Amino acid sequence: MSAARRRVAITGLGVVSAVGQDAAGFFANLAAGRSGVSLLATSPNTVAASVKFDADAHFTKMQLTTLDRFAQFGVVAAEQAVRDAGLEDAQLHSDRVAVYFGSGIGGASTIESSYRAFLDPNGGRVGPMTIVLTMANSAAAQISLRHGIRGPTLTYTIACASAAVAIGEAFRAVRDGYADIAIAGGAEALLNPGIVAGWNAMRVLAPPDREHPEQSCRPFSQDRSGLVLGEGAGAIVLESFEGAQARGRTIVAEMSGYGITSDASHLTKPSAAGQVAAMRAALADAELPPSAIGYINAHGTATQVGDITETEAIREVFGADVPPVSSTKALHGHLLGASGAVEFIAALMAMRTGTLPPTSNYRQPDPRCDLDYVPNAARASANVAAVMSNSFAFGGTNAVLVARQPSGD
Amino acid sequence: MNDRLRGIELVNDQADSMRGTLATMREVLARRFGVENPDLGESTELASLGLDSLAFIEYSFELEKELHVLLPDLPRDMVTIGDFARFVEGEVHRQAPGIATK
Repeated sequence: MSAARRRVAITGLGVVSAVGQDAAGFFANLAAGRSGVSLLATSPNTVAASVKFDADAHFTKMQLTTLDRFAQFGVVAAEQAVRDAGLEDAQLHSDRVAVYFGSGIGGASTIESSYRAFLDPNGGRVGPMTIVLTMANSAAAQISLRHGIRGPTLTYTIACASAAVAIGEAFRAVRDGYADIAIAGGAEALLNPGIVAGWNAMRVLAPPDREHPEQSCRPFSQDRSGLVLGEGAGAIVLESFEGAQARGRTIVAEMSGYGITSDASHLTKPSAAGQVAAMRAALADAELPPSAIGYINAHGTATQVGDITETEAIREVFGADVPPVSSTKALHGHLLGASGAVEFIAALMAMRTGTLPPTSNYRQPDPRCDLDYVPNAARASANVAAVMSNSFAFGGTNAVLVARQPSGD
Repeated sequence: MNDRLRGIELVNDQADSMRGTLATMREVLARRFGVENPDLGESTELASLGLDSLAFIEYSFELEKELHVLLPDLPRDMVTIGDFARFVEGEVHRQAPGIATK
């Protein structure tokens, strides 16, 4: 293996979310502060950002027999990213092309419906597709199958950092020459009554705001009351800078840094030290000083402890010169195993458009959360040279991604 | 009714039942798998439907629900829709309550 690291370009974006089912629409809605959060019909007293998804518009009935909802999202987001990158499937039929994908649970709706059938006293039937629909790698596998991708097809299950880790590891694979093109991201769809009951039991979900359910998720605001679940998928195309230039493609951004650490302190309670180490590792990897970062898309789940810890960690890394920080989870919800992908895409779009998406539903300053959170209204910012996206997972994994403006040098 | 007429009626019943089974098989193929072929008939080869082995098991599960029959052991030598329909039809009659099972 050559010691020389290759530069890595991001050339395509794809999103399926409650606030948009393509990257441009997704970002336009974030910038406009349009919420995808509403009362969830299938669980009592719960809000969530569910996707109004027309599966039949994307897949044949035959295809749908092998695609759980999360895999449908993943395949559609990946397809968008591939087309956005101007790639034809013939260019992907290679063992130099890879899929790096993440999911927290995998086929959650199939797990739930299969158990319902299995435990049905009237004799329900567990279907023959149960295992292949449920397995966490089914989204990645379906992407490989659909496009004829013959290199590594990998799946990362690291709770809320799954997609960020998938993107980070794909970045390393392309940079170090193990792959020339990688489709990376994550998918999640777990708004099923049983799984939502598990989240409710943890006492981490925000109760519905009585007058404005769509404003139930309020990151960094003093009256924040917990996270709001979302669903969807995000995918990007990573490729060698040289390869992208040779194809004459518009380069969205240069992927430049990835930092990953573990708290090793508590299963769910975050640690500022671990987050600081991950942000510093990502900056060092990108060979950028903190001052180069013009926008941070925070993990910002709107839990009491989480938002304070992240604020402290960002403050420690950036010192007196903290760039604007926002949590777009207020609008698209927490996509868990897909969150790292859609939020990195939000950061990339912020850099591309010079528009910082707001932290919506910000009502009251919290003295313990004292950064510039771009409250409630998008902001024009001409000087976003580089962006950072944070993803911190149950289990203690901290994953941080950094990208910069593409330069021709 | 004499025995000869009773025999003809039985044959007619069986033909109706076979037509009904085939109609159900066509309907499930369309609804569950999107296979909609107006020419689909007894001589259509199963391999031409585009169902892999797992999808075929799923197909048989759906038919079990629709026809109130159990199809645990599918014969391996079926080639056409007609072969499958005759097997299903045989199981429907064999398992139907109140009908001689010999």
